[in-house]
Amino acid sequence: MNPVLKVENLQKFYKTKGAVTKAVNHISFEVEQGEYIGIMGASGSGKTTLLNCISTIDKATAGQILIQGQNITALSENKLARFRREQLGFIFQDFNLLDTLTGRDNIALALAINGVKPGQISRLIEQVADDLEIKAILDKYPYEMSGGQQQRVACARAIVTKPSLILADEPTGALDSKSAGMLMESLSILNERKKATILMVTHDAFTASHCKRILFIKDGQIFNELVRGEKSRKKFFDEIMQVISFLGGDNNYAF
Amino acid sequence: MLSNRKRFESQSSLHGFFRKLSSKNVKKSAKDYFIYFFTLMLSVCLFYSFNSISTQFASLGLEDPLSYLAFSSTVLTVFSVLVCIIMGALVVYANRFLLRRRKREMGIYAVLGLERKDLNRLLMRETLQIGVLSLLAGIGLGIFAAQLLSLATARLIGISLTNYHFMISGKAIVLSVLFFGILFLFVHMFNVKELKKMSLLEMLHAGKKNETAGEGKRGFSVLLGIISVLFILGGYGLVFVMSEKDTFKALAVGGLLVIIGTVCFLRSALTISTGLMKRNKRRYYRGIHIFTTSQFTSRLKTEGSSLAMTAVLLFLSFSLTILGPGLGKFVMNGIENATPYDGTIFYAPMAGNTEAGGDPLEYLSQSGFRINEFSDEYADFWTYESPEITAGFLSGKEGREAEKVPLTIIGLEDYNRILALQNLPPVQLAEGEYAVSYAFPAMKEILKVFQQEPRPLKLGDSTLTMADDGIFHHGWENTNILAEQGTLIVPQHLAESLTPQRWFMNFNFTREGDDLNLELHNRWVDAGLNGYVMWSREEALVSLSSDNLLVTYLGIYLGITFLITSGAVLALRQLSQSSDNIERYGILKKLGVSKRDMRRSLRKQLRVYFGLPLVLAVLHSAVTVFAVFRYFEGLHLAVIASVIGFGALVILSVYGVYFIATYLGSRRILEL
Repeated sequence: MNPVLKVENLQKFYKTKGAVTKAVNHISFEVEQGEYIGIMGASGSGKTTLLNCISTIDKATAGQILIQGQNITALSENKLARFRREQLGFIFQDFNLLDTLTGRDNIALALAINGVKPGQISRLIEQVADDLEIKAILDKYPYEMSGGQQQRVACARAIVTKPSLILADEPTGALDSKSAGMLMESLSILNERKKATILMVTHDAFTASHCKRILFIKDGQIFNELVRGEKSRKKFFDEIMQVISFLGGDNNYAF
Repeated sequence: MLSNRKRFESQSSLHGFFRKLSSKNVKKSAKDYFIYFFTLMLSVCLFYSFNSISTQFASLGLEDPLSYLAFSSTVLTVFSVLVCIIMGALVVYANRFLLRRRKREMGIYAVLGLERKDLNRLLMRETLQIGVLSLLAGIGLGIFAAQLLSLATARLIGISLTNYHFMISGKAIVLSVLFFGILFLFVHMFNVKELKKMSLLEMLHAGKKNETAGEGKRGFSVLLGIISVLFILGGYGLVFVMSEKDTFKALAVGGLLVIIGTVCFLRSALTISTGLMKRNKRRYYRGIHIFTTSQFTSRLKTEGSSLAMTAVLLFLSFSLTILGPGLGKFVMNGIENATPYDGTIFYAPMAGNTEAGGDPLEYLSQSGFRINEFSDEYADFWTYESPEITAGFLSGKEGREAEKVPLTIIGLEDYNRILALQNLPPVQLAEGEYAVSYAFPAMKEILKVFQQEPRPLKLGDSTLTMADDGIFHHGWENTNILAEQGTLIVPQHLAESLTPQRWFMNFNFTREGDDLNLELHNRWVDAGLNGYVMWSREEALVSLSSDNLLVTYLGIYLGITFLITSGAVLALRQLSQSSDNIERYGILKKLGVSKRDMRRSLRKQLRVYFGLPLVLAVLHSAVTVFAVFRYFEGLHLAVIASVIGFGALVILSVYGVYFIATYLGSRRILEL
């Protein structure tokens, strides 16, 4: 089976007055269909830059990113926009719902942009709202919802177009622990029932413990990889904490 | 001692810091300030150009012994105060707007430990920098615009450009610096006040506030919409129908109704139309239509009033820019018949006091004004009236106040004597006939109708019929008002049987002289004659031209002022909306909407915001202009078309610049 995402030798350099910052330095990995992969790292490790490159918001300096076999580093601006709306779904830390639209219309917008026929839109929204249990808040405006509710609407928006890859950037970053737990449930539902492929960037071990596989990034390079396999989430969480403390210990050399 | 020095050093370093910070801020936000700067520059340019009129006269070599032109330029300067107040309101509004956008920045400065006093100083520096820059640019631009204006002035007054030379008006520069200096002082005071009102918490959290998007009440909006249309139509009706009787009252009340209607209309229009757009699900769910619609719904309440303000200002702008020059053209219409002689003197004795002064000609001589010194070619005569024969006799209309004025009657022999002074053939009348004479185009149509069915004229016991071809196109006096009711010419003995009303004397110079007009004028003033009025040809022409100049320039001046105001208000609002929208467009971009589609949505929004007030303003001003132009009888269609074309061109091009600047500015802000 072809991987959904294939990152090959990806590099992203920032040049500032003589100095070169290697934000992403020779990273390669693959994501299979139906995977739920997490990327962890301290702030400044390059994980957000990596996500931005994959999500086509940023351009890579060198290397290739293949999504469904298509090399996105070679696409033009217009083709990228089209690619984004057809192949990718986004979940952001700060929800990024349009405050001028109700939950329903926020979801409808993603469908309308993709050229889904107006007649089908309502049906698709009802379906996804059922799955994510957000029916009651569909006709509210974002400012009338709690953060967790907003993020679940954002999830619905990300999945409703049936993208080949969902990218989540610190989705629990702005949520309290209870809402974060509920959101992770929702993502798990998307992954298991809807067979959605999810790539999530986070620095929170609890959030990451929901993933099936975790890549650790440090100084722009892959530092470690953990696979959950048949382990319980508690066990997996402990493993993650170990890696993190090791990563953090690294810093202590400075003192 | 040491501590003093230290304080001084820290102060001066703070000083340098301010200088750098303020100029950096201005540079950084130069693009945001572009509209503001552009507007200020345009207003200074306008202000300078219209206040340099008197210098323009001098550069054209125009003499103005009776100070008619000086009067015109003074009136323009007086109106400049009004212009300045309007501009001041605009600048304060714009500044407050820009300041609010920078709350957060100010908050960070305050957290870093700058005192309010320092913040005020920072703001003052910025205001000063922008002020000085726009003043310099505006005066620079104004100096060139004034050259163009003086060419237009030369054309309006009808003199050649032989004397023209490049001019810079010191007076206008001083006035511009003074007026705008005061204005900037006010702006600064408002800034300080605005800053004082903000709490630090509010400053730091600016821009984080949730916007409460909501839908207006549909039923209420529909009701408001219906009422607004009724108001507008009522206003139109009033302007059209009522203006027959009392033009100014009708225009004022009608205009007010239209303005109220416009405000209500725009408040309800967005709610109703977005409601309709949402109802049509097929259209609503196509592409980013949902987004475009929501952009309108989320701003219903605030935008309604700003759109209404724009529409009203544009309406005033259109009307003034067209009606001013139109009135000017009307004032000058028929000028070729305004001064048939080198001079006219007239005298209107108090009612029933005709004989008291004796022979006016003799009285003139006794007072020291001897016509023989200037002319052997003169003719004096009395005009007569009969209370029953009023203007309505010729126009066939009754009722209006203007139709109740008695017509001027001149005896045939007198009339032929004054025609002879113009080397015109005499009018022939048989006994029992009368003729009608008119000087200006407005009467032409009325008399054409009258000629179809001429009415018999009853004077005392005799009844006169109109002579065949008894309508003559003559001017028989020098005048500075090109309006008339028509003049009746009747056999001499019949005229003399009526009560004499006014005494006239027309004359042509028969003596050579370097400056006869000036000599004449001085002699006339020396004689100090009470109740007598003299119009020399030159004076009458200058008086007419300065009237023309005054109304034309006043219309354009105020019109452009309103135009700039409306354009700037709209542009600033839209630009600031665009900065508020950065996040929203960012989401769209991440969702995979192409830049082309987003630009299309942006254009659609701007088209509505700029187009809606424009359409309403054009409609309103079309009705107003049409209603007023009905009274400018005798004005050629080509002249009317040129006046309207000029106004439309000026307004659409300036408005267009604001539209394009807003679109490009928004694209830059949204990175589209």
